[in-house]
Amino acid sequence: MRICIATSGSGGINDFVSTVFGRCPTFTIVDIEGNEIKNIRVIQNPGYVSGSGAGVLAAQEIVNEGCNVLISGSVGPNSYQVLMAGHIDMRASPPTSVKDAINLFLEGKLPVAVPVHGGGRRGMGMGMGRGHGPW
Amino acid sequence: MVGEGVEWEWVWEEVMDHGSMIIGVTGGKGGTGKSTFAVNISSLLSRKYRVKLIDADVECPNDHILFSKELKNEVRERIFIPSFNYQKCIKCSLCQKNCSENAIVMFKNGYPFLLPNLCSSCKTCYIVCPTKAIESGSKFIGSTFITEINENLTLVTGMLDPGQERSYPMVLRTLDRANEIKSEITIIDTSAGTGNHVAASLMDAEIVFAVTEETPLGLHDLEMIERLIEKMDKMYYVIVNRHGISDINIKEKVLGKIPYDERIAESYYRGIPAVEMFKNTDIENYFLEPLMEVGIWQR
Amino acid sequence: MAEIVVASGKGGVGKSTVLSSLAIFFREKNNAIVDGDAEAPNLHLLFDVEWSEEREYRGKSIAVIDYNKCNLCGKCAETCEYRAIKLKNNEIKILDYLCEGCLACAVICPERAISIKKDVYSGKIKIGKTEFGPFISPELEPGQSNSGKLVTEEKNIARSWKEKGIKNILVDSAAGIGCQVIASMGGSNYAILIAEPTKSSFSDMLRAYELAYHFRAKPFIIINKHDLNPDFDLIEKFSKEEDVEIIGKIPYDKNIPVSMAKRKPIFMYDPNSPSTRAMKDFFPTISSIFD
Repeated sequence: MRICIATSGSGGINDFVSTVFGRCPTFTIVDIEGNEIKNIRVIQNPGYVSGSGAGVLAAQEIVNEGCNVLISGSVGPNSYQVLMAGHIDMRASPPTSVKDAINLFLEGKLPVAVPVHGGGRRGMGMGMGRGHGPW
Repeated sequence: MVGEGVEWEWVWEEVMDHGSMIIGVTGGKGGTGKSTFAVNISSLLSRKYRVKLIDADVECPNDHILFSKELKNEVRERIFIPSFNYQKCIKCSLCQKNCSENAIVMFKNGYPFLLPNLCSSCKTCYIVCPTKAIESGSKFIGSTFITEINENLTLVTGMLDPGQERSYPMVLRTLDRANEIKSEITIIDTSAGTGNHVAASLMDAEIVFAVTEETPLGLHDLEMIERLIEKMDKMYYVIVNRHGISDINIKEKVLGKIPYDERIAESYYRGIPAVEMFKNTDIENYFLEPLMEVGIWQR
Repeated sequence: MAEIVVASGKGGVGKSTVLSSLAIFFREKNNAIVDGDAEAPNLHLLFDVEWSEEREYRGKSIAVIDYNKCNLCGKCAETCEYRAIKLKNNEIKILDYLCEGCLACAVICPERAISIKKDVYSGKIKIGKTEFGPFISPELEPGQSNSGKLVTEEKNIARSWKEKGIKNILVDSAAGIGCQVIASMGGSNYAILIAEPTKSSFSDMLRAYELAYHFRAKPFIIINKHDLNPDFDLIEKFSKEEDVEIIGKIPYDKNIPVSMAKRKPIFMYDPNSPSTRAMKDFFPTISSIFD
């Protein structure tokens, strides 16, 4: 299983989970074998420097990296659509360390993330990094 | 005050070219009286000329309310969005790479798909697709209306659907719809703000009136809208509304001052243009004078 | 953290007056104040802001023509959906105040004469202090398209102050219902909608209400200048039908423009003026929406 964690700094196992997804600077990607963390990698989030549609770019990257799970403080509405299409299991986490977040996830303690402003009456345009999470 | 000399003659030459005159009404700050001014001068001018008033404040169009009219002749307006023909698509990803809004998503080895709410309708994907796999689709963004106010005055209104972020294309649709109507004078009432949707509304205007109020807030925003109008190289004048509410007194570029007058407020509440409700009174002069000053009235 | 947005649809009906009063009345609640009107940002004029930081905002892309390569074929002008390219008398020009920075002209140009310049300076975000909390103000160059993004940026700055003890964000939204207002409303918990008792203000407030409903911001209504048109009952009817609470009514107050001219919120300028007294009366009923 491959987990991607949206990280708020330069990434890595000791970095912290970002409160936002589309515009977080880095993604820390780990593989879980058994219950062990293997192959820690850090990639730059292409959405971090993007003008518009940051969430979309970021989400595409996660899918293309072959991840199964995303852990982030929140997920915006556009990212959510793309991640859903890519069959990613999205989990919301408090801004704790990557290590703690992974452990919480493995213990089944991270709730499923919901897009903060998803599903309106008329399919309204959203985005612009307006997703923000419960934490 | 102003309105004499070379500048004005130049405008008339332009006007002669296409046989009608286009006046923009804007202001920067909201609620300074753009619509009140636009509605009243339209009403006045329609006594002499064939006039169309374009309500380009597509986010919150109000001019019909100031005439107590129901909007009529609705047309639902659409803009382009790409529609993918997967039989022709070769997954080259050019559409995705060239989309400046990142509205097109492509997974590894997958076909492209669209997030319609991000699409800005620029057609770049349509142009760039080497196999013509992108066809013209469309989505609704709002409605336009054509409402007859009196036999000489027609109102063209654009109304954006709530939740649509882009008012610019809606402004363009409204201006296009207005082409159905022939007129000698066109008045364009813009929205508040200084963004490119306001610039789009004023694109064809030959003379612009910036309506403001004498408060630091009004003046601050007036300065911003002046920068935009100057950038666009338009001739413009300032109209002060509700003059007398504070002791600030602006002078530069001012063509007319409409005093704070409860009668104007009353006409606003009742949905009758002040120049009609108080015909042949000093109220009429407040709106007539700026028009005389620049020679529109006595043409 | 509670995010409270003041909106109205129609401009000039009292958003800044109400927001400045809220900031003063609830000064103990650790609020950050955000001006959400990037195209006409003027809230800062009512506060004595001590500016401490400016962040450049480079959110714009514009098309640029290389005139050495251009052969004046005019395809770009035909293609531009925004009508930002004008070809007249053998001269071609891109109007930067209309250009959205898409790539359509660049990809259609047979001579490859057009390129897109990215990250063009389009404004700034100013951060400062007031005696009622930190203050964030945008300033967009005229003729821009991306005002909503700038507003989101501002709000993200305010959100990042959570660790510094900021508990609430007060956002003064722009007029209209476009991208700036959407950005102001998105993520907000509460929307305070201001309406005057006129049909146009009511109609615009309804449009702002639709947005609030969509973004799940709990709406409240304040009627401003209610005494100027006392027979107008559409707002009350709407409030009953849709079950949106009218939290208060503010009378017409001729001191407000005077206080503005003195660049002071009415709440400070005249604590005994009719509008201030009215707001002091009903503000306590919404103290629970603050964190």
